[in-house]
Amino acid sequence: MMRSRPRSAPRKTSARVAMMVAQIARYSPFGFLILGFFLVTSSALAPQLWQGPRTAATDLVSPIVSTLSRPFQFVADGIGGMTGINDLRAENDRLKSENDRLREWYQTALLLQAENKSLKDLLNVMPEPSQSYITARVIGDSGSPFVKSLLLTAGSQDGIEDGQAVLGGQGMIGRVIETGRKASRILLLNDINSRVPVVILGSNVKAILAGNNENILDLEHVPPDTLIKSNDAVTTSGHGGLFPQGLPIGQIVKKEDGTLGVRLYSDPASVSYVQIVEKPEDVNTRRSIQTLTTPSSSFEEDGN
Amino acid sequence: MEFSSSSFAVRVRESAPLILLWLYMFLLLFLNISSLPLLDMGTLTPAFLLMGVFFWSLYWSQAIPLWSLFLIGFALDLLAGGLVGLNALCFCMVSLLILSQTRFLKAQNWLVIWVSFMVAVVLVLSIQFLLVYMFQGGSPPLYELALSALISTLAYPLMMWPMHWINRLRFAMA
Repeated sequence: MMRSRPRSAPRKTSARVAMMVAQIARYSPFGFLILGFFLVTSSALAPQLWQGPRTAATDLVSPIVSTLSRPFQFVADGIGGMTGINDLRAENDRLKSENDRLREWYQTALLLQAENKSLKDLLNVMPEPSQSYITARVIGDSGSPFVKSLLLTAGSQDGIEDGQAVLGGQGMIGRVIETGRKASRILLLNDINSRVPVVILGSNVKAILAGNNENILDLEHVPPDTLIKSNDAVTTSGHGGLFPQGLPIGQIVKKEDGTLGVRLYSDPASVSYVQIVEKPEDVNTRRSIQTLTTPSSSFEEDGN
Repeated sequence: MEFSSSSFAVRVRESAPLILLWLYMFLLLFLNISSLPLLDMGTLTPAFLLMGVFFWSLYWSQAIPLWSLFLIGFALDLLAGGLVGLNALCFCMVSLLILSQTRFLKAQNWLVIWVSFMVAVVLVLSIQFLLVYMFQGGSPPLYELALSALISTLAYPLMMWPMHWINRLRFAMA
């Protein structure tokens, strides 16, 4: 009796462990489903929790994705070059680029007109600091109709920062939301989570441009009884200080239901390269930010 | 030495289909998030990884246990930029559904399998639609979802071919 006890105890223990493993294996499908649902909930309620892992994962695989997309680009270019309508394509490209240039000039003219008017109204206004741009290649997208985002081959080592505005060929298409060392992700303007303060040129009405996962974007918080015409240009208003003022975005269109919407100048789905607008390097801006963040030290300096 | 090197070669040969399977799964993962100008579908991409999940759940489910599907779905969620856990959850659901219908599906011809894949795509898009609508209060237009289901279904025979070859290699090696 005394000898058999130590033998039966480990047997019982191993039997218990085996039963526990069997139970876990039996219920593991539900465990994974519950875990999946928990992750979705946590991601929806606190997306910032996942920003670190996302950035690390993006940084890790961006060289592979970049390499993988190159043959497709090469083959696409090759097929395009081999087809008989090559000359027609060239002519079409030339006309398109000319059209783009003219559109840019048109936008510039509108901006200059608006700026001129504002400057006349406010004689001593301080002009916006000049902008510089970083060009990056698009290497990936979300691959899902539920998320409108793009992956770029530039990261913090290239000067990319969260919140910077991103331009396509003809206008703004989104903003940087995640910045890794070598890669970054941009949230497109038509994503459902995108909100950008804008101004409608001509009427000078301020509004919020809201993404809706469609091609025609919504305009929110438009004051009632304001006269807005179709084809009016929409630019960033600069409110909130995140984006520079006057970046071209799109033009007003009337939707089928009669409400106003905005069609983007640049189709985010077809861009291969983008320009990221660097944050202003203006001495006055920096000083004012410093004053706001460290009021005591600046007061001391003033006192001295 | 000879014995050990030959046993190593045998081991490599035996595990070659499994290695190929996972290499192909990772290729599908990267294709899922790559920008593919050939297809010219904008940000719409066929559900490449779902094709792998569907095929291997049906023909070699032991090679892709549920935890591995969960992990690769989780990786896709991190890389795609959407709700984390969405694809992990959907892949597990699809795999469980196929496992419950394996006997029926294996007895069917190729056309029925293809239609079953389309059903799986629609199921995944529906689950994602519901969850995204629930948590984010909006969803893409239905025509875009239909287009996504269509291109995924059309691309399946093309992407299935290498998996079919790996599966045949598995039986040839056995």
